[in-house]
Amino acid sequence: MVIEDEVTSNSDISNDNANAVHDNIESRFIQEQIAKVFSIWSDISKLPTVGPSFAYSQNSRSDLKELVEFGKSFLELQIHLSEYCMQINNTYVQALAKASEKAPKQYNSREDFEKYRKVAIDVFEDAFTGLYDSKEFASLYGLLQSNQFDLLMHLQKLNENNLKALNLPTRSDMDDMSKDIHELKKTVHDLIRKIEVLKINESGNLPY
Amino acid sequence: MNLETYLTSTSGKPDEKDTSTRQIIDTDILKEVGDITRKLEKTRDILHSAGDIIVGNTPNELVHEGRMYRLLHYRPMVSKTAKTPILVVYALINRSYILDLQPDKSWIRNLLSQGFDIYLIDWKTPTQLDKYVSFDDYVNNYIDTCVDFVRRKSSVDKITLHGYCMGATMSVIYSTLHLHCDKVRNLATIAPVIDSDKDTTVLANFSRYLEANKLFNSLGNLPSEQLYALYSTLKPFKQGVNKYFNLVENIDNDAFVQNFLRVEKWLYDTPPIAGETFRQWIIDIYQKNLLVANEMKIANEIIDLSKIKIPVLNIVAEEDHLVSPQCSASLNDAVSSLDKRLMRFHTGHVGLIASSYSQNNVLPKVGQWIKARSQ
Repeated sequence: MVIEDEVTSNSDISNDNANAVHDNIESRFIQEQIAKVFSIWSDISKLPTVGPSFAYSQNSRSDLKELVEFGKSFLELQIHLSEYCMQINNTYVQALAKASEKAPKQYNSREDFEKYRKVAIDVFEDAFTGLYDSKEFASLYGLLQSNQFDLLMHLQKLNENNLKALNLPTRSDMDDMSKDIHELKKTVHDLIRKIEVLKINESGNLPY
Repeated sequence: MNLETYLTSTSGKPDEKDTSTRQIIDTDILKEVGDITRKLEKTRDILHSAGDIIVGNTPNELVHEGRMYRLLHYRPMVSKTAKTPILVVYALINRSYILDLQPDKSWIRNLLSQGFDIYLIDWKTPTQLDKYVSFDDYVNNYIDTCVDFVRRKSSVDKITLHGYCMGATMSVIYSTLHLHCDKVRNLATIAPVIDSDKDTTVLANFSRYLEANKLFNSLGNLPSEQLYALYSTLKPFKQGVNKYFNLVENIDNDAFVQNFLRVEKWLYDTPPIAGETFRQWIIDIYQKNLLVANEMKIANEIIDLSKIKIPVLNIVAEEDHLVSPQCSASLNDAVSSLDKRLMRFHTGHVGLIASSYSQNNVLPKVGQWIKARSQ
């Protein structure tokens, strides 16, 4: 036993060493990659600030900021997502335990299965509806969604910058147009209504 | 190997003294297992080959159309109809054919058979270009245009406005803002969202924590997927899981299967909701509860529910898990009408409008109430 233990512990030590070396290589690699990315961005930002490259060089810094913000939102999303999964999982495990307690000792007929199915569905229904009814879960779900909206907005901002740099219409441009068209439609509708009222007043007819 | 072949091949091999008893038990169990397998196979085949499911087949005519709506006029089913037409305002969630799902469970068909002249606003699917379409547009433009169209076509000065769910809330808002025009004779609402503080549903709980401004800024319209995610939290096991068990059990009952497929089609036929409308719906109604407090504004006009003095019929479902009955019932306290009635029924949100129960218990009473107040 003693020998076995020693062997095991030696093996643990060598595994630990291997893991440590691996972690070290991984962390050095990540550091190198980050340094490279910053260096590329730095080069882009040194592009001439006149001519067609102007927009790219101007945008590079705000793009970098947007990427950092994206990373932050992504981290928050991960935290909330794991909390979300934990709450769902806990509810599931608790419901499963409760349903097991209520399970019959023997299944002698189809009716036994049917009865248990109903009991199990009731147990799971109560557990999950209780979870979804809680303020804690609703608030967490709200945060989870909010993080996803943030991520989308960061991506949109990055695309917006690139489209601007390429002199292409952006989402904001399209939104402005949609808003203008919508306002115009409203104005036309109101004008038509006013004309109808004027016509009715002139003719003295009922409005139908 | 099918069950009969299997039973024949195993029946001639007795090897224990209680063989006969065991064989009876085994045979019963095997028959059960065989039956379940057969039903599962049939369910799979039916679901895979469901094809086009026919819904909303009560004869109607498209009489008017805008970018966001279609106005349908149903062909009368009796020779003499009530002079006051009914304009049905459907919700912005899922499709209006739930009111005409199948002939024996059709809300529209039943009202037609009671001698009413029926119009329905069938909302179209908004695109990203429609993200700025707001409550103001729905109420003051689309509904108002349809009300005027129906008045003109039927040569009447007033109509009965009849809304369902979100459409009921919009009908209430319309009746308040267009009071001075005197175009609405009666207001009949089904499960309207009025006092969200009294709404104890899962939907209301999630709505209170939704960042509607961010949703609008990032996604524009509310996408269908968001709604499906919400639906999955409503009665997740009693309806979400159990309905499929029931389908397998009843797979040999053609009427049951067809009904299941129609409802399923409706459940997964969810258009997006225009962003600005959804933002106001969530923030003003669910988060700030402005409507019942008479503080909600549309196009700078305050919606004061106490100004409503026309006859009001409010129909609520006691087991509604989408809009709590007490949330809808608040309408009767908020309006000043002397002629107002609250009808409560022991059914759910969809059961209230598309079930045998509603045909037998709800619609006769609703028809009677409207008829007594129509010309």
